[in-house]
Amino acid sequence: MKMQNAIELQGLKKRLGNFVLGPIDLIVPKGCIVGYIGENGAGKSTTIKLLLNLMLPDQGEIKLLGKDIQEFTPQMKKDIAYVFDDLYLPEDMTLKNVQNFHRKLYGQAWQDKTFSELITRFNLPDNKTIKHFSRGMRMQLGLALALSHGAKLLLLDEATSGLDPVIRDDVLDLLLEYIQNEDHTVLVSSHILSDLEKVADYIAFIHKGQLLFMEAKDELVEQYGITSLSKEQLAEIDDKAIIGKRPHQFGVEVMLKRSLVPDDLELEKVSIEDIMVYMIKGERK
Amino acid sequence: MIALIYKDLVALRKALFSLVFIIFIVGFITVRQGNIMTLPLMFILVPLILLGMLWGSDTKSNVDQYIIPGPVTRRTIVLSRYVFVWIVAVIGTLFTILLKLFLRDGILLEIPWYLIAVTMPLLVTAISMIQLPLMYKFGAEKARLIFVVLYFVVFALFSYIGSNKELIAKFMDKLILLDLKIIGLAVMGVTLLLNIVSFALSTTIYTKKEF
Amino acid sequence: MRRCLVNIKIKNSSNDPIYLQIKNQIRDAILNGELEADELLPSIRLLAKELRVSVITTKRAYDELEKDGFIHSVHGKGSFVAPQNLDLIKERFLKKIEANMTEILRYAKLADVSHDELIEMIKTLEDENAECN
Repeated sequence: MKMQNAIELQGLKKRLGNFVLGPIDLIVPKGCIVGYIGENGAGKSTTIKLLLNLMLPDQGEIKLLGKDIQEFTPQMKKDIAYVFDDLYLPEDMTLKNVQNFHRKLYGQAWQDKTFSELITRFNLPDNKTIKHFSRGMRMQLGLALALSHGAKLLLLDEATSGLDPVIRDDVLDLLLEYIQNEDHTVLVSSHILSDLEKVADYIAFIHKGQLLFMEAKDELVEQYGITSLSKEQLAEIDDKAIIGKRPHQFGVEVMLKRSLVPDDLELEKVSIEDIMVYMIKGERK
Repeated sequence: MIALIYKDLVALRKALFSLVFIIFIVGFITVRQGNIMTLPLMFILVPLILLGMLWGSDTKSNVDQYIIPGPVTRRTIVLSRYVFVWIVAVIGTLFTILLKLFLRDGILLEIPWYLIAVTMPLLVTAISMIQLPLMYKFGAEKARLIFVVLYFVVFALFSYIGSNKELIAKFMDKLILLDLKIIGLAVMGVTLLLNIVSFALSTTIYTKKEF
Repeated sequence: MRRCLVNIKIKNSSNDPIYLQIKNQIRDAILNGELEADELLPSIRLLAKELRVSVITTKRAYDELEKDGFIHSVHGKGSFVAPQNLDLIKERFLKKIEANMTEILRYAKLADVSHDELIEMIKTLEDENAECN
């Protein structure tokens, strides 16, 4: 049978001191880009560390590319690529050293040509040690490495946070190129999605260790709308329709569920960031 | 595995050069002073220095987090570190045997080569084998602290032995009665046992570690 | 069978969802003959990449186009412009116009709007739309 899901989490649970992640059930179909969003400390990195076997779950099952990660052989691990918020390699290495290291590490799977092309595209210097690379360059190198061993699943953990818009734009292009192959899947975790939001097929939202939803982005964005109301107008709205609100001196800004408000109420489009902010604030009150 | 050793060598590149340089200087001084035995004994320190530096570099770059999800098992990562020590042990042993071949006089000449071949690995690896599981368990900093305590214990042990010389004498008498080859085998056995137990311990600790 | 070269503009300010914008523009291109029958359309993944939208969005646009009979997909080969029966389409549109007109006439009667005034309104609307485009 053909494998259809890139990621399957079942009852995944992990306790770290006072923080509890999960239980999380999540299914990511292959061939798509998923934005894994939430506040700092919501549990995004913990989830990704669990996926990468850097942490061991207290409970639950993790399947990547249809296989339990406990049964992964080194050969199978070549199908998984990952980029963290920084490139965790000895800083005395030059680009050539890094390339040699990966050539030896990935053996047959390593694609020297792809790597060289990406390096040229990013204009990365090959004589400097990575100590002298800027943060953006380190991330570009990390991404080039991740994309050069024919992986089917790419995990990005806060990889583009705090980078300038031009570099983020490059990343966007690379992700879209990567996803041209329908066997490829991307999971991007971030507390700010910004431009990456545009290309995400699904949004998974995690809050205080709990997965609030995992939905197709288009449907998600179409479900909600934002508008400004007076306090009297707000009183007439069904309480269930109100996702979150920002009261100010001259009225209230509210995010509403379109299906539960009258059709003639004009609502503006929402962004994923709006949804995130209003949901978190809505819960606080 | 080769990739991991390569990474270690690159990370230590500068340190390795200065180490070879230092060994040459020390060698030069000891040869002039006629105290040639110091040279092989230096190899006892080499793996400790290198391991210390490797741990420093690894901790700084957080490289474990990068290689564990990669196409290696955790066991291989631990093994690479042991192989590193073993390479130093092999170099040290070969070096000492060569030294014996080229020397005209001194204590080295009296020791048969096979005894050197089994003793040097023990001398070179012994401390590392105790230190490695400690480093994996407690991290480099705490492991060093534990080691300082260990030094004191060893020191106390030596001073106890020193004040009971007759015990040593008795032991030595018995030892001399034994065949040198049997001693050699015993040393080899101890080395193997120490290395295997240490590796098993480190692997167990490292597989349960979280990053 | 030539490669499809059609201009698609995405407006973020538009109230229409992105999939609808794509769908409408491809549909219009087919109806005004910019896209001919049996032309190969770009794959949903390529379209998503070029427009920088999600694959689900482009897939939905194609699904709806297919449902409406404007394109047909061959598994493993891609999506093609379906041969259009222009008379049939015209008839379908005429029916829609008729339905809307009935509605308009009903409101016009209620508000006491004469036929001349209605025609004047249509002209004004046309002019406004021309300016917008």
